[in-house]
Amino acid sequence: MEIAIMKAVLEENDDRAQEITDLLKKKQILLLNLISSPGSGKTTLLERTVEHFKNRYSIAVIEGDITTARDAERLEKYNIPLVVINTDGACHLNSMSVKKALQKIDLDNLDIIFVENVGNLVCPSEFNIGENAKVAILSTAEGDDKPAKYPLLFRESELMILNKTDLIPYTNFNKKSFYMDLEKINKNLPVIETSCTKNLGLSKWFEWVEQKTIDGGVIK
Amino acid sequence: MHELTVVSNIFKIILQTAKNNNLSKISKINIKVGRQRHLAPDLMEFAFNSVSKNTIAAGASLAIERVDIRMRCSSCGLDFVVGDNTYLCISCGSPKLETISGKDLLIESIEGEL
Repeated sequence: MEIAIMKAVLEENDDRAQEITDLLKKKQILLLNLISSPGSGKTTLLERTVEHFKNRYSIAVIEGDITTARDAERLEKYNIPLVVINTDGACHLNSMSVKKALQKIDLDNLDIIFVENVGNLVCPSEFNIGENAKVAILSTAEGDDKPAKYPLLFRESELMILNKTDLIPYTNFNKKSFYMDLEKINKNLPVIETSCTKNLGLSKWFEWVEQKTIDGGVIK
Repeated sequence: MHELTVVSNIFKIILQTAKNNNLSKISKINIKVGRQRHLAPDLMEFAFNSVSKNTIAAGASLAIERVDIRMRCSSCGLDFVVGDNTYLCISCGSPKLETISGKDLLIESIEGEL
């Protein structure tokens, strides 16, 4: 006999994600989900961002890491709420673990939460965590073909950061083919070119975050 | 390897359904997976065989129907299937598209014995 089910496989994840969205909307907090490969510069971007906004916004960071707390340790100097989610091998964060992490943060005096997802271009893009937006980060050393090879992330994201542009002369990164591929996959995706270690292009990212806080209703 | 997470969810849902319907054996699971999802069917089968070992779903077949990425153009209204990762209207070239299908990840039904 056949029994109809018609149920979304990730329903539980999506339900918890919706609860996070509702909660953070009520608390007027912006949640940004940063997704990239390992080593693209997510933590350096966060260091620059927290430093820049330290007198402007109250920021918390949730670090998704397979096994260490090394990324979080790099952010400790800013004295902000930091929660590490060790996924014990899992390649992505899910909304259940993010919801648990949120319970460890005082949400009453907060403007922005950055989630640094597990370094991976594939899996994190499949799991909503209740974010206002996904931000894809790609470093030039990874190659210009990544949007074509991992299209889902570049479809799902609202912004893309192309980092380590200062390294382009030392790589075979071809900007023209990168933008041609991206035009096919997501022509509306804004791209900000940065070098986080050289402090290049970051003002555009800061402006984007500020605009996002306005769109997200973070008015305090 | 998020296939294991996906398959574990599938397994949880089908076991609950089997229990609610007093099934003693699950022989087939019909699921739909959109082509926009980064999910490899062979890895899903591999994960399912591991998860279902020594349960009423052991040996069940995972019938995966791949669903095309279908978009509707917000400018000219055309419905079309996305090929070659090109998310531009095949008629007017607009990038303003509304997703009709392709991100599906759905358990349609299970087949089994009482």
